[in-house]
Amino acid sequence: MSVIEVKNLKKYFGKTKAVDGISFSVEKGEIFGFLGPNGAGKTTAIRCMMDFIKPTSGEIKILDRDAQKDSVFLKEKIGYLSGTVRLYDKWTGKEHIDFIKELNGKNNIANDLIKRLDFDINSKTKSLSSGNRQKLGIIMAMLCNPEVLILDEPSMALDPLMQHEVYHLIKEASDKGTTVFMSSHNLAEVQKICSRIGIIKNGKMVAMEDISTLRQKSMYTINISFENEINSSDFKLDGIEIIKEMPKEISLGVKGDLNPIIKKISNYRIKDLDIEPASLEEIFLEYYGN
Amino acid sequence: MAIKEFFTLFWRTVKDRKVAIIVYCLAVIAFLWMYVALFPAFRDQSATFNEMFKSYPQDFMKAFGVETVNFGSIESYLAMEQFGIIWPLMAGFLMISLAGIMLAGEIEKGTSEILLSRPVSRQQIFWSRYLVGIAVLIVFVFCSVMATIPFAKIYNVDYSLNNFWTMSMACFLFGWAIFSIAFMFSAMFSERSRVYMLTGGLLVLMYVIKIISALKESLENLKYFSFFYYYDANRALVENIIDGKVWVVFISVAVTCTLIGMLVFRKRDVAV
Repeated sequence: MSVIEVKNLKKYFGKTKAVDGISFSVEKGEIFGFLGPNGAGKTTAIRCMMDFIKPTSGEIKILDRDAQKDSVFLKEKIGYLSGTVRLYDKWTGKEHIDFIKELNGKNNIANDLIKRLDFDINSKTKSLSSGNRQKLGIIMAMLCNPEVLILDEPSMALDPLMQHEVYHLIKEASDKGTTVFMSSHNLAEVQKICSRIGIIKNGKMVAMEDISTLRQKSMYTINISFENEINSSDFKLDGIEIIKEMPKEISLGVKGDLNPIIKKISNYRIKDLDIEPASLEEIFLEYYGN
Repeated sequence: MAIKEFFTLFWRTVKDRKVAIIVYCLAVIAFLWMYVALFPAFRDQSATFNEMFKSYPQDFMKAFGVETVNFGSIESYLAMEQFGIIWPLMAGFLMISLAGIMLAGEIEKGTSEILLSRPVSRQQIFWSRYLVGIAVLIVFVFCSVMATIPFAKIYNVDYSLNNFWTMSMACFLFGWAIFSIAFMFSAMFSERSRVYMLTGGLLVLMYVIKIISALKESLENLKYFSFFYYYDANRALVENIIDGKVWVVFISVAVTCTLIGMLVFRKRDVAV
């Protein structure tokens, strides 16, 4: 059953086509990653889904209800995290949480979330760091056990440990049946937790992929320093590009599976090894450039 | 409209603004206290003042809303001193700043997303904020007009209670119209500065129109386009009358602007 169904969504701001006819659906319990570089139209599409802005045309259905006409009903069921968490400066975290509880009329997991995210609820939000503001945004999105979670860049500004905790929270919610729609420009992040992704570029959906397909499209840059001289022809394999070579050093561009090249590298004694995943932009250019 | 959510929004807004509102009310009460305390001295010298004002050009006096000068009664004295310039300025400033903060200010800061992502309709947000503005106006009008009574008692000054109730109503109508215009702009725009600029500019323009129409006979009819023609402190406080046209103009402007504001806010894109 599709929990989120978007058909031919368009949102134009004057001549700017922020979202230009995207369609996708998200099934119950699925974690759907909405990927795209900055300015691709992710946040605009999410704002249409949340009825903050009105689509130019197209249809958005969430839980089989129209996202515009049944907006108030749907917001009882949706937990939302903004891409830039904005808070009332004079309120404390507790006041924000209490305000949400009063409006949503439910409180099931607020205390658990506060504990797991190690958040101090008594500080005025004006003095919070960007990471702590993000934590509060996540608590506000998840505290009422929503049926649908719409998260715009959920791991932004969090340290790696907290990112890990947030991924856990999202997966746990999904295991309990919550449908998760999350935007990101971080490929590694969506690879970790999403089951399916949609890739948006210049307002258009350029691909919908299972995460396993996307993994095959992974790209890395590998920089290796060896103790002895090497024979660079050893590294000429399918999907491998030699970017730079010196007698004891080599830089390789790798597409897809890392295992064959790792095997080759292991034939030498290594001084230093650096594997850097390609940015989403680089992958876009490689696979969806046109 | 779900009442519980509506009151949650209403009380939260009141709580957020309470310090500013209390300070503002105390300031206007302090002004009133000063004027009432000074009144006995003015009253004793009223004949001298009346003579002095008689030497001023009539059109000049009329242009600044002073058609009759009489410091013999607290009503006419306050109509000139407190309610002539100070009160409209303070009320205008309060109402415009409140209206600007409550919708456009939230959109500008991005906190509107907190409200819009909750199960509350845009109408609930609009009306809860609007009613906070009206409630603040009522409190401000009460403090700035009716506080005269205890001060008058303290300084043994005679007063007519009915006239002060009439003045309260005139002040409320004036404040309501300004607030509704500012709130309409607040519902339309995403920056507070535009609300302040447009409403403030409109009020300054109306004030200039009033002065010009008083100074130049051929432009006399322009006065009907100025709120400062309808807001007549002398007529309300001294003569205890609010003319029918005052009710019609202020209520029409308030209701029309409020409805336009609500319709726009329901349909518009709310995002920074």
